[in-house]
Amino acid sequence: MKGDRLGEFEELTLLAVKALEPPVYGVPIQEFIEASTGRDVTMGAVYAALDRLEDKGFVRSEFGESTAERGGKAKRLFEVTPAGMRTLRDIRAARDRMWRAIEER
Amino acid sequence: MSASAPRPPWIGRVLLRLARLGKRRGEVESDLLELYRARLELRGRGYAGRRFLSDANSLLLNDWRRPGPIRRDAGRHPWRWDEMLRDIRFALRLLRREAGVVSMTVLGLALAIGVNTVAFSLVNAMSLRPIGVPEPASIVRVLQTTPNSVNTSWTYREFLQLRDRVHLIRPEAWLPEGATFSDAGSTVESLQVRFVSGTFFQTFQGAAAAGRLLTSADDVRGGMPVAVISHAFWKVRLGGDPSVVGRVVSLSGAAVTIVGVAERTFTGPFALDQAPAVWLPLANVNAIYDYLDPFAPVSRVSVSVVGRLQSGSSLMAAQSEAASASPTGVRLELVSAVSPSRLAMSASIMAIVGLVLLLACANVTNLLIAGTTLRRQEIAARLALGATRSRIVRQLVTESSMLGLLAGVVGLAIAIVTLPATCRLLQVPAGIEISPDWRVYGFSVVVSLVAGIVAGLAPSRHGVRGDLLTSLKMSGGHGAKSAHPARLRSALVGLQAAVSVVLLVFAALFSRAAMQGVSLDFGFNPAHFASVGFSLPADAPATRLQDLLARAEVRVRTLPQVQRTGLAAFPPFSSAWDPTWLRRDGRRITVLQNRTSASYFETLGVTVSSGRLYTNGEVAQQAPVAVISERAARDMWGSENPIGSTLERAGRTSRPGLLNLADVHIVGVVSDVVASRLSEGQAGTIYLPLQPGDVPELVVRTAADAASSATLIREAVSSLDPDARVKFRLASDNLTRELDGPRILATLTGTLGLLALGLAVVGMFGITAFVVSQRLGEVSIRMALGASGQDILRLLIGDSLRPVFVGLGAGLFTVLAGGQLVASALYGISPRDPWAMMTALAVLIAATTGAVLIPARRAVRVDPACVLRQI
Repeated sequence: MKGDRLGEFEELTLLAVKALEPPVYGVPIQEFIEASTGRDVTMGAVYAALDRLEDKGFVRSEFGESTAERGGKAKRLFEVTPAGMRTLRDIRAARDRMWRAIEER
Repeated sequence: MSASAPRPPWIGRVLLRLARLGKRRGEVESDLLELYRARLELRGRGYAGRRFLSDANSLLLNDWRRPGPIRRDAGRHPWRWDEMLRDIRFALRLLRREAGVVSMTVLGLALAIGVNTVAFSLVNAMSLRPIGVPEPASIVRVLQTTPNSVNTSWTYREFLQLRDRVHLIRPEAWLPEGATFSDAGSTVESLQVRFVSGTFFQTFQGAAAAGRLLTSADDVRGGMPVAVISHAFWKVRLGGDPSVVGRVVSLSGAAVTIVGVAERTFTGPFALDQAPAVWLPLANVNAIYDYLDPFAPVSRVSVSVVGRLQSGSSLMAAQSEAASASPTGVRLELVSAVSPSRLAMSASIMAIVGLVLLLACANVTNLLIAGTTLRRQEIAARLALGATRSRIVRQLVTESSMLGLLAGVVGLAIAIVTLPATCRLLQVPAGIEISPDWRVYGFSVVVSLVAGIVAGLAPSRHGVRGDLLTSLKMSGGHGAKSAHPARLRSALVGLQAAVSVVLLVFAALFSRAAMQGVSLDFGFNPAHFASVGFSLPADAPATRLQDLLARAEVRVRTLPQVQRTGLAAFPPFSSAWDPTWLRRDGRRITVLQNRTSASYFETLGVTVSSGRLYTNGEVAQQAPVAVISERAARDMWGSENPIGSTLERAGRTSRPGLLNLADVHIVGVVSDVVASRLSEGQAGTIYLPLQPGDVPELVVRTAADAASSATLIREAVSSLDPDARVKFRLASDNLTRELDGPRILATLTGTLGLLALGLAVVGMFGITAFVVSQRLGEVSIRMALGASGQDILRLLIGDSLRPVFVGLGAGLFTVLAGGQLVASALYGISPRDPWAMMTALAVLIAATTGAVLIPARRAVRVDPACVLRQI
């Protein structure tokens, strides 16, 4: 993991990208996080998290085809990289270990 | 994006535009729009809008919230959005911390901005808005010229002749009158009405907001007159009632049908404070004022002419064409949108209220100086950490602009709330639209910002100056004194005291004048007098009026309350007296002239001091005799006996048909009375027998208050002649109206003076509190060395009040030097009235001493040991 720690919101964002049917873009990600956590999420926060995740190499993005319904504007489509997947698994493993310790008490 | 698609709130769109999104703008914008629509469908407009706003805001804040390399380019972008946001937040935090002083200061500034906004609204309505017709640049006044004079008035015939003969201008005539408007029980007095020629509205391109405007078809004699009312009058006085069109109302007793309401922006080619409330056709004027008949062979109707230049014709060509069509010379003058004299008056009003604003700014400056002195440590720390000086100044100016804007919002609210009351107080004519427009709003924003920035610049310069190290090392504010802000503070306090004293002295003078006016010795009791006048059709012979008056006199005398009656061309306080200039020993003397019956003197209670009065016989023959008042005798003959002397008129010998005074012999001297106007109360009077051209009125003296006999008298004279219209008036009515002048001035200067005093007191309190806290160390040492509380108090109060006394001196000097300017508005009061001066001074000294005493006593109560331990 080293310096590439994930903040809580980054983790949620990464999970959302993975959970949704690829390829995904900003709007569904925001909606998914909001629906799963029940708290209001701004697009600014989502973009910032996606940017940081991309800087760290956990997601990658490419511009999709422009569609008429969006006024001809292209979407940026995100996908979780293998490194991102590995980090998610690491986090989950660490959490699972801890939960098991809690439950075995 | 289709045009019909729902659009997110505009604030959000603006914020989004401000965000620095670079290449990704297209993507982000369409994402947000998609979300907006989805939310709109699911949760409704409010929710979607709110979320859009917070999304846009989050994007805006993103680019500086994200950590990055330290920016070195702060100097190149002086007004960065994020820095400003931070400054504003910091400023708000600081303001909240010192809520007490801040709110007092802001309130003071708000009041001052409010007063300025009200004054500016009035100035704006009176002299800054362009005249209320489309294409004002082609409007000309049409004047008659003779070799010696320029004349604004034309006879109606001359106008008709001119209109038929010229083609390069379209001339229109108008005649101003005052009227009483009544409709369904509500009455508006002294309303400005204009009688205008038939094509007036077409020529000046007026439009109707309701109903129709006047046309040539209305401009004919006979029938019930029709009227158009102004939009302002309709909205303000008639509540914008649409059913007013077609209604029959009464205008000075005559029935008039309202046919329409003019458009809001159309007020006619007149100066705005002369914008009429009602327009009527000129040919119909005698339907309302039967003594005015434009078609009579010798008409008393004189009209003014104003026209529009036809497009493409030059002023010179139009002028020579008009001159050839008129019996006299003609001059065309462009009606400029803003008259210079009005601008000068407006400028002086703004100068006075601006002075009050300056006082309020002085308070803000003082507050900020105190603030920066206390914050030297904070500022020094920021400088040491690498902030540039300009960055610090920006921070401080942001703070003071916040104060200014805060005060501006409150001030504008104050102005909007108090504007209607101010208009009532100043008796602003009903035709004027005074509601604030973009100029007024712009004015308050600019004034608040400028006030904030000006107030903030001086202290911030002071704040960033000086040596870092000492400031950093200091543990508190003690000893951080520099001579400069102390001097600035004293000057500001002195200025406040000076302005307050000037305004308060004027307020005291005007109140005294208003009170004095009521208790003035008139020589008779105005409350016991009333007058009755008659107006007959213009073609009625003069004998009919004489006969009517004689019959009225007989009837009125039989009434139980009536003591005496007499006839006079100018009944008491009729406001239409003739000033006459007489010459005696080469001097010019102003006297007032009245023409009366013989019984007038007895009626008024005037007594003979030498000689005799003129007799009924002499009045009937219009004998060349005169009676003068003691004052007139003193003015012209000094100690000599004037009886038997003749009079000489000074200056040009005037209108034809006027009595030749050179033949008139003085037969008697009578006691002085003040029966004309208060402002001319000190002039002498000359009485002559009634002359042929006079339209005298019946003067009635009653045993008790004349108002209680009003109905009886009115009834007694109402049925004497079916054609006559009766004018009944109480002498005290006009007197009250005249006293309104000083009363209004007293209220205005009093309000401004109290505001100035309040500002000065708040300022003094704040400064003294600050200075005392700065000098606590010194005070403690003095007390430790044996000074008593009394000594300390004397020291602190003396130091604080010194600039006040300097200011008081300067203010009094200004009043003494400039008092003559207002002398004409003061009846029977010298502009150097000692009582007024003493009252104003006493109030000021008491208030400022109080403001100083409270914080100073706090210093004395401090335990010196406690303070000294901290140093």
